[in-house]
Amino acid sequence: MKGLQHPDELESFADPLSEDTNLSLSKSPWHTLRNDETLRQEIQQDVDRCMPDNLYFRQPATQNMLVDILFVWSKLNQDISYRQGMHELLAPIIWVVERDAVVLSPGPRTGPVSVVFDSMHIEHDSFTLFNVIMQSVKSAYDNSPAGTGSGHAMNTTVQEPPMVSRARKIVDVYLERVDPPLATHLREIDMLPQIFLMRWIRLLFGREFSFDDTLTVWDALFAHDPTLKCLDLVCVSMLLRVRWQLMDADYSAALTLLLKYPPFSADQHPSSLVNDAIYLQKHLDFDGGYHVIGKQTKRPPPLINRPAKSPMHERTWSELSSGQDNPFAVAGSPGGFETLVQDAARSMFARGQKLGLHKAVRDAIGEVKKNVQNFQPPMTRQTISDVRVTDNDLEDIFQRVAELEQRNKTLAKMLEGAIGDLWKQHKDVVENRPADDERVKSFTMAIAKVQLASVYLEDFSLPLPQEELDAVSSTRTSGGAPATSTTITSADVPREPVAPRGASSLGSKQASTSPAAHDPKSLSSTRPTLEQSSFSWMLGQGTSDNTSARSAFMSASPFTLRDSSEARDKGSLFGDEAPSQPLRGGSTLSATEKRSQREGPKSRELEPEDETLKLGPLSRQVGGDGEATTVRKTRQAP
Amino acid sequence: MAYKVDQEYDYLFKIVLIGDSGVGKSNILSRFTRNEFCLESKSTIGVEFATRTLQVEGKTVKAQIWDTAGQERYRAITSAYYRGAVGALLVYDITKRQTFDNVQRWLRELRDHADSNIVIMLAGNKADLNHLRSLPAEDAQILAEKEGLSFLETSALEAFNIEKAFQAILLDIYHIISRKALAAQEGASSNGLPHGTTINVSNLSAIRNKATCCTAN
Repeated sequence: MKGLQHPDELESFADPLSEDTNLSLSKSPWHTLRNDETLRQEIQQDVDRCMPDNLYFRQPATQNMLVDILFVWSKLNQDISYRQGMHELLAPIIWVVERDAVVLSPGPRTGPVSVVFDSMHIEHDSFTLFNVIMQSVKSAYDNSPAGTGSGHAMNTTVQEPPMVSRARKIVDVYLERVDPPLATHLREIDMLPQIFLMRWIRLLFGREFSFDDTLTVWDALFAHDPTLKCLDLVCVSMLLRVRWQLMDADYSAALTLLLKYPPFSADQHPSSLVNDAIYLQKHLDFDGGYHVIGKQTKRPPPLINRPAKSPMHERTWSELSSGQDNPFAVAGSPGGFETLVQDAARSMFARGQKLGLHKAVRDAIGEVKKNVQNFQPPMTRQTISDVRVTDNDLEDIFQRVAELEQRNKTLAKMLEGAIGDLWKQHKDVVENRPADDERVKSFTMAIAKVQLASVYLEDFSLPLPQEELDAVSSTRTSGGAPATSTTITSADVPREPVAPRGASSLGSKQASTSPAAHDPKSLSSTRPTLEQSSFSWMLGQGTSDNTSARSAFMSASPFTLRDSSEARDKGSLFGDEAPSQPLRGGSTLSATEKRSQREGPKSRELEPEDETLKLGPLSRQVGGDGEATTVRKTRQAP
Repeated sequence: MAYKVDQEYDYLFKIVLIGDSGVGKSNILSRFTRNEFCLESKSTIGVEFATRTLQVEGKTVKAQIWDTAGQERYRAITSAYYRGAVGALLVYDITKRQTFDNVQRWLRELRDHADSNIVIMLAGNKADLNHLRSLPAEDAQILAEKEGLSFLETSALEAFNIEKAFQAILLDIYHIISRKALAAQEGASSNGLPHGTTINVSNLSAIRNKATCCTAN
């Protein structure tokens, strides 16, 4: 180090007069000395301006350390030498090493902790870490092909620096695969990706986020892969997060946005950026982009842009079956949601015929049926234990869950259009008939069921209603006190996204007046399982025979109230409910992270959620049944 | 979203800031576009970018100003940086002779990469540090005349001559464009960066802001 600060001493062995000899300039120690001085000045100039807000970096000792490390690294890597930006890669490293360091009393070091965190070696450790990181980032600093003979491994076939070709690859290859419209838009506005990507990559996003967020992003990056292979996809993830703003932006606006990247929002953990990149590593296709955009912007891109050939349909059942990790499958409802949707669609079709609806309605139903059929799984199913035994790769399981979830979403999207049409038809029907017409009501119910199924499909972190699980699993005995069962039922209702405000009191009231009529056993025996259960949780009662209960429900139902409103046109009657995420482990891809992608009239639709939250504790209190209580608790977890 | 630029303008001019590291390019940019100055600004990595709309001879001109890292001598972004630029502010530091000595090198780079008609203004920045001056203004004036450049001494800190320097560049560009426009009717492109002839003539019937408007986007 002494030699660094006083290079003249280092050169003292050389003949001071050698400058006057015939040695070629490059070999002259004087020449080397002057170059080194220039290099140090160059580094010092940046170090002086490094992290101006942080007092630690204003201290001369810190600055000297920065300069020394960068100088030594530059001398060891003369093909690149020093480039602006390296100092901002080194600064966070020194900061973290310094913060972790322990000042030890002189004497022998015992134990790995004292060796690793010895404050004596901050500079050494920082250099080593910086050197390792630079092995991955070095190429981004390499300007050689356009340069003036730095002698670095010349990529003579491509007359451009590696950073330029890398930037082009990020947009033209990676982004093109996950979000073709965005890649096209960036090309259309003539955005050269290296303009913003150069800083993103060279500084490992140090200027794009706050210092603390940057450290978290780095933690996630290095934890995943110290060689930073996913760096390019992190850039893609960042582009996807501002996708909608970019799509609206002209050149100036887009460049401004990308050079002043918006900070993480409150519900975005910085590491989610890396998680997205890891997800894209395995799903470098439209579906992967669709997933990430939907998750981060709450607004997935239109499926109309989806490439004709989708890998989704090529997946084998064994892959899809791993979706048994999702709450529905674990609860053991045979047939799953496909059955539920199909059932609802079929009954709607039958009722539609009775009502003599317009042909368009039948077309819409046909569309529903067709879409459902496309996704009918084979009849053979693995059991949960099979999956657990044969598939030990936890990461793989999570990936498959994510795939299944994606698939469900796509299904939900397909349903959405059909539901919208149905509601329109429904409106016509309602206008021409008395309000208490039985067929109108059942039609309303049928559409509502399909819509609910669509909502549940879209967000599979929503657990199935308790009645559904009970009825299907048939584990509950009929011997339980009817009053208890009914109380649970009525308490369950408000937590459902579809629950009308009045339903809870309605259910309780009726439970007290005629408890025997709602014995679960008797219901199960009189109706097909799924249909019965669907009714039970929607009505808070669950009987098709009890017409008075149903009409009472209808009058209190938001469906009825909204019959004349436009809200349903968006097909998001139940949208924006905020359930918990039972699977949200966060350990891998956060595949089950809550995302509410619906764009409907939100203020109106948030009401049921409010109701849900208010009534939550109540339902927990009354839940006498162990299984039901468990379900509730997971649901109410934040 | 508010990212869509809805401002109307008659012309869009791209101006690049060049010069050695640490001469004050970024502060010239922030002074001109946001009227801000930061004594402890960070080194520019890659490119910075800002716009400001102002009036030049009754026309609304949007100046799109690019600022780059001074050290980026052999730029990975050279072509992107100079592409479409119609003006350049070549900055040196009057307290550091070395930065003035490198002016020739920057001129060479401009000739190599920029449009041959690019308007160049030489700016001796940090004029507020007159007591540390290592370069007489006359030297720069001589060089400017020899190379056919305009010349001003500026101070981003004191907001001295910054406005004037950009106004002069924009006026020169405007005159060149007007002459060209008379000579040959050029096609208008409504979006993005100008191509080829490096100007972007937008809708002339657009509503204009009467007052000079500063955008910090």
